[in-house]
Amino acid sequence: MTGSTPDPADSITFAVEPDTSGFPAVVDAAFRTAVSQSKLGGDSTQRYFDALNQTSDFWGDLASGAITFAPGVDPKGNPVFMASNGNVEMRLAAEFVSDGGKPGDLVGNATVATHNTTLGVSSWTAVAVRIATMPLYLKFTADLFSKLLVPIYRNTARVLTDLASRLQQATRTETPTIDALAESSEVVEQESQVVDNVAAEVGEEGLEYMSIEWGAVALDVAGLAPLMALPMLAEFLGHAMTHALIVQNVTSTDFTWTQTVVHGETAMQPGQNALPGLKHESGADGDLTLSSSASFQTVNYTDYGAIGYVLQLRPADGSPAATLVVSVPWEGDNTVWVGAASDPDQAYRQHNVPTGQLTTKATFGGYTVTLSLNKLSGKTYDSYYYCSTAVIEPA
Amino acid sequence: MLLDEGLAGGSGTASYLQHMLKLASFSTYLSKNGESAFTVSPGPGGGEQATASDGVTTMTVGVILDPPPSGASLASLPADQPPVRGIATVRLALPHPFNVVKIAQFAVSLAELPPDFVLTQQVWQALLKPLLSRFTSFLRNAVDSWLETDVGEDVAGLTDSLDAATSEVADATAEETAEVLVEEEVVAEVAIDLSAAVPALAGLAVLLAIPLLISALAKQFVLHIELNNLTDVDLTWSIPYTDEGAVTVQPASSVLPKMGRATDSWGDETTVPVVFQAIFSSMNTSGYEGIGLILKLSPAGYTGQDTCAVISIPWLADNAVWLGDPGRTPDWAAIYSGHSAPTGATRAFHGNQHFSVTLAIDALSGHNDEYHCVARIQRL
Repeated sequence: MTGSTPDPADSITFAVEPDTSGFPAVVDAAFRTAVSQSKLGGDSTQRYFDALNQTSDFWGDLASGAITFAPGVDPKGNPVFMASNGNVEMRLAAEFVSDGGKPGDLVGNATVATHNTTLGVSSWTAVAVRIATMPLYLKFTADLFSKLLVPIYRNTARVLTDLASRLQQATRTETPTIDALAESSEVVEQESQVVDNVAAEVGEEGLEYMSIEWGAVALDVAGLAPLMALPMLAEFLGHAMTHALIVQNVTSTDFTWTQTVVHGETAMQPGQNALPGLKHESGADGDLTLSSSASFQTVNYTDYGAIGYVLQLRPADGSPAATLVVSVPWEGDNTVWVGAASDPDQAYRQHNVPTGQLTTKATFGGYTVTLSLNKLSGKTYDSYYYCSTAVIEPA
Repeated sequence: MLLDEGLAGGSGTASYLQHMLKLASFSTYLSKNGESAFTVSPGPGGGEQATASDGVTTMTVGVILDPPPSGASLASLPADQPPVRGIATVRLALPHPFNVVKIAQFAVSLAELPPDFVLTQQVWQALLKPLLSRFTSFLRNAVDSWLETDVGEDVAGLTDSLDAATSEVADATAEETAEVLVEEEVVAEVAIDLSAAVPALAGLAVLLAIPLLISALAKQFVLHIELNNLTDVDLTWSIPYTDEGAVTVQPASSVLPKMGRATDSWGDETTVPVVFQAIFSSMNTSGYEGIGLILKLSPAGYTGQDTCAVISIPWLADNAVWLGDPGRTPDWAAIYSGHSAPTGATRAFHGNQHFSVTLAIDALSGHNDEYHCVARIQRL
């Protein structure tokens, strides 16, 4: 697979660049049901996370090679790559855009999609595929592209598998700290160096080698990382207490977030602080509306320590910012609070007093934030595992 | 006995710990606060007592000395008789709703006094405080060394290890001397003989240290099961019996399709036949329980061709896997208890008229408490 430096005369290099920011969820009926259930708090919130955590085996098995991709065709007969373990389905697809004659030309779009069979929620991301280098004599056609699809899928599948196994290692420590962007950057850097032998597929056209430059989509790969890492972290709880939070943006406004940890430490936060608003995409999968999320996992610093943090969500449209307080004390009930506050430390001091509420909401001009909590105290699956969703919706 | 219940694993250990961890947190308190954990006050019978409390548990240490032989010089006492003798009492109490009171009582004696020492009433009184402070420091050191005891997997040898730790501390404490002050002048340095305390303290060690040491043994078991259907018939799976633990991941559908082309939720179809897998994960529901379950496989369209798999991941013993015919009216509990004992086998095999099933586990013990089972059903 890897080998000596290929001769430019018989090798082609693609460069992929982001089309969709991160790895957003597809807004459909199943998504709306799942998200509105998660807002209720208590068991409803727990079930939402259960369904997500059930995917950990998929990513783990992908990492260990127990699940492999199988070639398939989509309903229109185009080749795709498919993987499934019953709980999670994943597919890689690509479509030809135009005949590229020269380096820099956009030749295709590739999409990665997952489907959680329990929640019915799908996530989707697209990248644009451009030609970086190619032999001068080569005529790039739809036919050539379709012959290169399987090598492209193989390469893409390897990026995903590498990411999964890297995250799996990172989660399996006593005090996991996942830097999604750093892990993703290393994966894309490494995978961009790999040269695939494509003689079997396109040897007749004079092409021997193919490589893909992934560097530009590190952020998008980082967007997929929390989806893999959150359930992995839930499965391997070396810590006494954990709080997982998923912030879902269902408004059309872009947000940025800032997390201030008062007690405990961050095991994982998103690779970037942008939380884009709803996006619309059209392509082979039809017209899609996509909703972005940001995932956080916070653990207590010592076995007898508490978890407490403040998350501020700032809309790009100038509306007031929302402040979220999460408090998981070592003794006593957990608290979630959402409201307006400027100073995060002060907000924490004022609002970490138990209210007994499993869901709370506040409206800030044009939008509403609902913050839920699975449990006020006690254990879930023998762990102090607490989880919340924060759903940002139009008021 | 309490300890037996504690070491039994399962719910016994859990309930034992729930109560006893209160005491364990007291031992952490003692170890953290050192000398200042105790306050000294006059005790009953002319003795002195030291009290330590973390707000829940109270420990009272009292020392009463036998009255001195009046006006006698030590030189006149028989050589084999310790010059000063007394009784030390350690009382450990947990209030309602725990209602635990544990009293350990034992003789203390001064190891030796200077040969020409005159044991006046005043000196006798002055002995109490240094004795008590030697004594509380002995208790604190004993608790510290209990907490540092390395348990490993040898739960049964725990009491012996604790006794050895107590002896060591007793010897070390006996070597240090305490100053006896009369009117702020050092009149003597005394050493305390604590050998009699070691057996008496064993009871306290059980209460104070074992809960913490056992809680360190809490295990988080994870069992992954992968089921592959290599047949040309659909397979219905079920988990009719769970002895311990909970199944946290299981496929949404209870039917595992026959080998063939797969279709996903986007309508894509594989161009090669694939084997369908069902993935399960199970965890123990407390740190002192294992995982035990039965997985039943029923090929569609056949009767009497069911196979059941017993998978047992107990808390202390080795794992076991077994495959067999559940029979027409299965008694799952009986099947489980009959086939969950460790056999040393990591593989099981079962064949009936039409199908053969294999089941394998990656390890029988250890393995960071995470195990993988692979089951495969084929046509004969």
